[in-house]
Amino acid sequence: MRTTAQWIVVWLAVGFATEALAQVPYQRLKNSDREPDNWLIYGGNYGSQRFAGLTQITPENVASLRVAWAYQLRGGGVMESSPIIVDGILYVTEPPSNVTALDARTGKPLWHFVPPVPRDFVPVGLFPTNRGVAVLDDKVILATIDDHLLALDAKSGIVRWNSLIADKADGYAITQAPLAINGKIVVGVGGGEAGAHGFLSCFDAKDGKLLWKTYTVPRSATDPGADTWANGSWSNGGGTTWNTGSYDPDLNLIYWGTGNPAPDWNGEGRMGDNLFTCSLLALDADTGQMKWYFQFSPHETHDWDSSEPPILFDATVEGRPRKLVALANRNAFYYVLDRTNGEFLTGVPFAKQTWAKGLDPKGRPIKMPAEQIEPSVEGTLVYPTLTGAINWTSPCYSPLTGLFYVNARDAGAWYVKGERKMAPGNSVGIVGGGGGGGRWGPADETTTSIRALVATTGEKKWEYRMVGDSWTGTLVTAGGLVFSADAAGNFFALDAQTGQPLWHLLLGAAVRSNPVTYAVDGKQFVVDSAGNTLFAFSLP
Amino acid sequence: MIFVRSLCGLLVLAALSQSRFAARQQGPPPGSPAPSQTSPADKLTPDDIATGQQLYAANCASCHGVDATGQLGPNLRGVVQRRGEQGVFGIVRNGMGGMPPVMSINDQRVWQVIGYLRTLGESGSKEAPTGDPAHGKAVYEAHGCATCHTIGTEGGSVGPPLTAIGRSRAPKYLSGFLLDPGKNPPSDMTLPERAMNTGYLLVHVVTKDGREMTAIRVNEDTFTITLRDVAGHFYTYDKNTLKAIEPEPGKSVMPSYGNLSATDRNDLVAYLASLKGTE
Repeated sequence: MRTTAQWIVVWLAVGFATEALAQVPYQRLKNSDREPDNWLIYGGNYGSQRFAGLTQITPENVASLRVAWAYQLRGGGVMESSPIIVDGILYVTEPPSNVTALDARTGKPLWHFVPPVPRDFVPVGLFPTNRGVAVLDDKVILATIDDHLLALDAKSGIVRWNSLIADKADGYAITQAPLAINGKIVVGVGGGEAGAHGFLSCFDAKDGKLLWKTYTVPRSATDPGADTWANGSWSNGGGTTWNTGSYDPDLNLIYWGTGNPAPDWNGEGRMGDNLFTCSLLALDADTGQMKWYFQFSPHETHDWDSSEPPILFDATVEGRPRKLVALANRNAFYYVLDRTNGEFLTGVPFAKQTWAKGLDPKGRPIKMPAEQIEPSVEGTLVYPTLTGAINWTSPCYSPLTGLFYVNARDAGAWYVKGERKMAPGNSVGIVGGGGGGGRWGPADETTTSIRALVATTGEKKWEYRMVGDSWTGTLVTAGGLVFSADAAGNFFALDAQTGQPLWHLLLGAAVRSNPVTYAVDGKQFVVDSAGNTLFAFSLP
Repeated sequence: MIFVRSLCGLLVLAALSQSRFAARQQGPPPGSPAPSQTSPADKLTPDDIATGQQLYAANCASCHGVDATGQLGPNLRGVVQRRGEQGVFGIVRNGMGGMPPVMSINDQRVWQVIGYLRTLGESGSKEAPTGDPAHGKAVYEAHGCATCHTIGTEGGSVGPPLTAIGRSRAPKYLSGFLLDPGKNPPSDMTLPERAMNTGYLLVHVVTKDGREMTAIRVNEDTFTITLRDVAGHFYTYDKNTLKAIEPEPGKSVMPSYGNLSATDRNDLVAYLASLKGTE
């Protein structure tokens, strides 16, 4: 029996240990690759590589992987969250914008936070969900569906500050995980289907004060890019920044993708390239100033946002060491750029596409004739489909194999052109971006495949074909495994070198999230959600 | 074990998916028409209706067809008249059968869509059946259709129930289906995340030890495929044990009724078109 005094000592010791461990200074985030036991950043590291240095689970033993624990959502809905794990505590989000801290060993809840989202608020054009949080110092940072940025105490979930990112009345809604950098929180917005004007904003991590805000589409006729929108059509908006980007601490540049111009499927009223929609932007982290941009899909008319996670890596290209950024685009092309200046290096299709003959030497698409690809009243069959060759889920990159692993969708859709009505000022935009929509492509054709691409060239090394329309990201480990899931909810492990399937388990519902891995007390866990349940797997 | 004969409840449910629209009507939301009262749809302006049309194109047309006559999901022409504004609102918000709840548009926009649907009228087709439904019923009974199909509570389960077939299928479709059942089959809605797939698809499988089977696909994922024979037995195969998996689009377990006289077929179509459910 311990005495009361002994218990207090134990309690204090645990308390102080938690105090010390709960601190995630910027240096830990910057050097996150040095502590593979934790998953500190949405994309695994600042390069969004989703590569984990853990080696306990291997191709030789993965067949004995089993469920260690499961956590079910308290509310309804489907979990799309990519958890953050810090020193044995796992932070996961639930629809619409709730946060739960779990004991990463057992899955038992430690605290649960529900922000006061108005019950009657329904965002336009997107499902109210949340894809994760950021951590910095002693705070967990959450962006809510109704556009608040909240800093929560990492130990209790108590709100430390609350800032407004945007006004939901203007069509803005947020589902992404913020990105924490040195003393700052960077966060984008969704709402391109509501005519919202995209922007990226940066807040002081101490108190939530706005530091800078950079719009991605012109706000006046004299703004950069305004001449690429005929007749002032920039006022329609678009170019939202709805998926989490990446960061290069050495270059101090933030890399963030932008979404479609508005209205989506009818470009007649917005002739021109519509800058800076469907682009990758490189912004100075201190000022928000644009260092360079690369537009993947000029004058986009199929809802192929360029919001996919940009993966940063370094490699030698034609004998020269380069700092690179790779992006598997919703438009079905895989791009490699020089991330110091945006120079286009390579671009090849990674999924079925019928809209472009190829890319020119600058990376600009050489489109097929308009009558073959533009949405029409009766519908035009074009590949990829409405949801794209990839959507918000994350690919991954292994520095050990030099491969880029992407869940690629091969499917088409009949694209339909409608009226191009958008409300001036865009406060009451038309859902779906207006201007049309789409219908499913031919029956039985939709397949998804895990494709391993040589990261520097996009050359396909192997592929693993799945049945159906999978919406799961990929994870690659130093143990030599790639994790993902098929549409039915089979969570599986592939050999990272060959793509051979090594293990799978049917989880009973679609897996719509990105798998992550971590270790506690020397035991490696892999977690992913299926339906409303988060599953953690480990070796026996 | 490669020839697993499985009759688990889950698969039975999956196999009966085509009847989910009928089977899952519990509780008030996706149910019967609301009592007559002022509906938010009554207050809509022509601009609202036009907006509703755009909302429909962007959010609904991919499953219910650009002209709302049905594709992956059922024909929505006349759905407001049949189920009432509140009934449709409940379906949109709560989902139904293979349709997930739609939460990406706000209440006002749902009402705009309902207002638009209300303008579309009762039928997906202006075509009206011309045959004699009473004689068509006799044709139905004489040719053993009930062996495979259920109307109301009576009949077989090989094919989809026909209790409300007149609501979701136009006479022209029914007539064409009787001639060539494999040509334009219904969609498989058991797993919406699998995207659009053919329902009642015949699949021929050959096991590595040489056994063969052709039956209706009721479920398939990356690792397994489950077939159902006409006797209602389920067969789940680990794909590793199969030498060949050959879908047979264009074929159907249902025979062609091209041998019916034009009058009999026309009357049978009129009977089927008259089946509007039991509510």
